[in-house]
Amino acid sequence: MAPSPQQESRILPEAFIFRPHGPGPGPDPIYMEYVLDKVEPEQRGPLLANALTTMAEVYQALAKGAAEAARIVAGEGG
Amino acid sequence: MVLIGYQDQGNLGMGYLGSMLRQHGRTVEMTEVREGPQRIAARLAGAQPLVVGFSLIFQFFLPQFRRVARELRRVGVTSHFTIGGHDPSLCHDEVLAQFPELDSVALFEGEFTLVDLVDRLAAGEDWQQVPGLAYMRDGKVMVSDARALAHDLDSLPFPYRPYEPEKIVGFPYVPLLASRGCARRCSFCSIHTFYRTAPGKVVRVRRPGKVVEEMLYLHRDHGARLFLFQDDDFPLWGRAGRKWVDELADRLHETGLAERTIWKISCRAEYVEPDLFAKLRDAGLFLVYMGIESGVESGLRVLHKQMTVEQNLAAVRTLKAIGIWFSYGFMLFDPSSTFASVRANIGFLRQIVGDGSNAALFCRMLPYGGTPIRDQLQIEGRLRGNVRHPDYSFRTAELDRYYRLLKPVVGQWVNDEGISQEINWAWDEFEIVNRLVPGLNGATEYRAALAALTAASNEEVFQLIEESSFAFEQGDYYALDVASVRDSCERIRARLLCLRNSFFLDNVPALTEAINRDVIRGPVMAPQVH
Repeated sequence: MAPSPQQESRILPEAFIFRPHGPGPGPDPIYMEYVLDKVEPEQRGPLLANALTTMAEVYQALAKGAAEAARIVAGEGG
Repeated sequence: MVLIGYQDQGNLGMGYLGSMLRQHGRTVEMTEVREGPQRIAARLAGAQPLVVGFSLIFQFFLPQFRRVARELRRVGVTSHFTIGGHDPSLCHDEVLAQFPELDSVALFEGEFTLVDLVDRLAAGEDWQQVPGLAYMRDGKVMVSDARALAHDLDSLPFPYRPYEPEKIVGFPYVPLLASRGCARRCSFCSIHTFYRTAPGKVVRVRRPGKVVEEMLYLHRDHGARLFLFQDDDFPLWGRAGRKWVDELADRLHETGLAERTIWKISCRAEYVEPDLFAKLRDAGLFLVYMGIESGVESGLRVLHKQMTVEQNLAAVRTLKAIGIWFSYGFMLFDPSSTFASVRANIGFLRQIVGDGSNAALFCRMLPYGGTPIRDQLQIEGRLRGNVRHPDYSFRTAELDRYYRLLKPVVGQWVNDEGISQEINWAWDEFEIVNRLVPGLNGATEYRAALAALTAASNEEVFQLIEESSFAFEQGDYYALDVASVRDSCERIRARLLCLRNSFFLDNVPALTEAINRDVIRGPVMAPQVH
């Protein structure tokens, strides 16, 4: 019976065992979408990046949110 | 002096800092931050280095670095703590506020700043006068005089590399730089902000002869067979770039490196020309990474790529035609995304990798600190999340909902452990051994089988996205769940392992011989100061 892929891995010398994880030559580490999912939740600070620094911005955001909510409620897809 | 940071693929930033300090007579220890606070603190507790320097690129890992600093202070390390890197340079006030254990931030390129800082601390002089630093004084952020970027890269010693190189199928590989800086202004990238904020010339290129000298040294003394150029944009631009790479190729042939080693670059697709790249292929170029990013013109505009879809397609066609392996960055989702653009992007990916030449990889653009697109999203009121977990809303709530449900499902292909990543590892291995050890048993058959498997895997994820996006757009909440694709990915994984292991089993003697051939053994910690 032919060996399974796992058995073949054990037969291969150490240098040639398939280890597809970790940095390789191909990817560029700038893409963090999935990497960030591994950042521990307690490390994710409460600092909001979307800081509303003036009251005008607060009112604008509230008005925009309300309009968006109205569209969604009206079945217009938001 | 102790430098702490990530050491993946070698950390060239730390390497250059280390070599400069050593050139100035300082002892340098490089430490991997993932060793953890307790272990690092246990080692440094009695040592009291003059300076502990943290090397941070992404802001997301700031808390991890801070835990180390806090533990060091707790066990009585009173050294000067400084930090450098992209995020600390661009957001030094936030970093100083969130990281009170720090004494200073070394802004932008830190080689000369760090040497100056260490000298002044050693002499008991006022370190706050060192140009290129930010620090807190009486609760206020202070910034010393600006320090210009290193003008002449050839005046810097080669990076300090006190470690065994990582290997892929037994062949050691090392990172290096031919240039620093990027002349472009992609909206999602902070690199150009980093280089333009500091005074001095943005793009600087080493002389080809010095680059080849470093490659030769790395080959002889570290056994390197693969070189990964980490330049943001390899210096290929214009007539000067053409002359530069011509000289590089000539030197690689003269030294014999072209026949013994291979190398990877990252560049823009517009520079990929058949004659030039055929010449570079003959000089050892085996892999070209391109930040393609989008398959639709509107996406390229929003990302400010200053490229067209056709230019990207042409580059891929050229690389395939002349036999150079390619990899790419691609953002299936960006702030301009619509259901239609997502499907158009899939159509583009089908054009470039539908033949199984590469496993489909893609992600969603994230708004990093210091990027123009983050500022734009903030103006539009679409920026979400927090500093360490940045996010944004798409233009419609439906697309937000779709993305949230799609992400874990396609993650089975494209996340760190996804099947596309594994397939591309197999391709990396194959392209490397095929170039370094020509004539391996069954290479043609393995390539064809791997391409067929890759094409099938790609098509499955393409169809999943196309069908589900249509359904969501029409309000039909198509069932998207991870369990439904897991079995399929496992079948692909098992087939991949079977193909790959059979090929390597058939070639163990030839590969073993090739790994040990032509390598001039030498001390790993050879003299690094030039």
